[in-house]
Amino acid sequence: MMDLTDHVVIVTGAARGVGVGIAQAFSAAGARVVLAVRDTAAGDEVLAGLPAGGLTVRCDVTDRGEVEQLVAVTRERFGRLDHVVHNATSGRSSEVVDLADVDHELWQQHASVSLRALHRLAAATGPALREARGSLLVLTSPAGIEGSSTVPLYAAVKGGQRGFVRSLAQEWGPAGVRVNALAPLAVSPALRNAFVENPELEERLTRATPLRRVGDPRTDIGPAAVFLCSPAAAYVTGQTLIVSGGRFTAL
Amino acid sequence: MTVLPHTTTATTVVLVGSPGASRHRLVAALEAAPQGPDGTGPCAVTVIDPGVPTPALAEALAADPAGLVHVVGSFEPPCQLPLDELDEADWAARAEAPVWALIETLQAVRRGPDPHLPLVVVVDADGLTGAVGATAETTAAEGARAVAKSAGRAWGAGGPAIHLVATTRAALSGAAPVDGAFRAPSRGEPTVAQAADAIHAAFALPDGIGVTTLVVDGARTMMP
Repeated sequence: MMDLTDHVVIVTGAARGVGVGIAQAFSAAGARVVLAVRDTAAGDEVLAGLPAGGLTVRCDVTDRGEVEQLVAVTRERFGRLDHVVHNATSGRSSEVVDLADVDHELWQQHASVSLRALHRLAAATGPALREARGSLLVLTSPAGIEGSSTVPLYAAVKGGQRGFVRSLAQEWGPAGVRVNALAPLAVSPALRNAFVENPELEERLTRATPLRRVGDPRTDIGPAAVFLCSPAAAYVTGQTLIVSGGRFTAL
Repeated sequence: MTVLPHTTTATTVVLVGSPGASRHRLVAALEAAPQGPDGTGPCAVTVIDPGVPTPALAEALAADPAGLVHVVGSFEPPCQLPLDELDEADWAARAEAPVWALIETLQAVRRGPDPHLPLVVVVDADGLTGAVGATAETTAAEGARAVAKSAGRAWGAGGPAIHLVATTRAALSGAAPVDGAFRAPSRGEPTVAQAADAIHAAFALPDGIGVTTLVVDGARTMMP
């Protein structure tokens, strides 16, 4: 049920962190992965480790032309597109700010990658996903569910994504396209840096997580993403799956 | 800025919301409610457009209101717009701008003369469940709820008491609800008066209750 052999999946933000783990998990399930990245050298490094192969495509998701090109290149190369995983977030996502001080420019940074690009990506890939009766998966965050005192704009766009997923699932359901969200607690590059700067943080976070570890992008988060896009989740749409080792349990 | 007439005995509520019949109906319902936010009697409403220059809102906040209501996005009659027909300008206006407008309001309250001013954020109840043709609106609603929760977490006791009221477009606009909803409202279609009552009730919630969402949808979703 988790076999995605011959499926083609686009993963945005696949050059590092959770995106890499998701790409690896899809490849392990047999899918060909199109790595949509701004840093193609990093993307090629990830691609080299994918057993089922794929393609690296330079794509800044905030650029409409590049998103359209991404879809065109994917369909030209593979002749199909089954799944899209929107994982990319603003490079300033982990910047700690006070809501009282944030400016419109920072809001635009967050919204352009997490919201506008999501709308753009969905619009550009919709025809192919309907053809394949495929799925769209959005990487949201527990912060979008319960808010965040330190990254309020990140929380805002992640919350917004959940509203988007609920509506689009209803809109695309009749065409057989499923739309879901995944809210992980995982070791991202930003979190790893935070652990280095503040070793106590890792211990505190681990202690607060019932499974006593912070999720691994490849072994914990990637398989959950594959599940949501696989036939095993054929009757699952409009949902947010929280994959956090039990750290976040309230919806 | 439109300042509605009010008596000197009534307490004042500032309402930030998009112009239109829905806003007008909500203002009338808030003023018709027997008790305003401080429980001493009816209230008058000072109306501000979202996204106006900060001085307009600052001026309203300086007039010592008893509370502020921020309505996220437009609650004009339902207008289903499938994703494929939603262009980028529509998206920015319907999904993103309303979230930023709420942030601006929160910042204005935080910097205003009373950083503890009670605040109620009104969002589209469709955000809780999703709706066909409403990807932008439900994005804004859920983005705004996350903003309110973040503000509540960040500012805690040093900031305003913030609550949310999630209600339907049909309730505020008076238009017929969109066909196709599977669940019937078990207590009948909600009204603008019920939404106004919920806003006043949200103002009256005890301090110990954190950012919470009162759902005024006729008991359709019965969300936790």
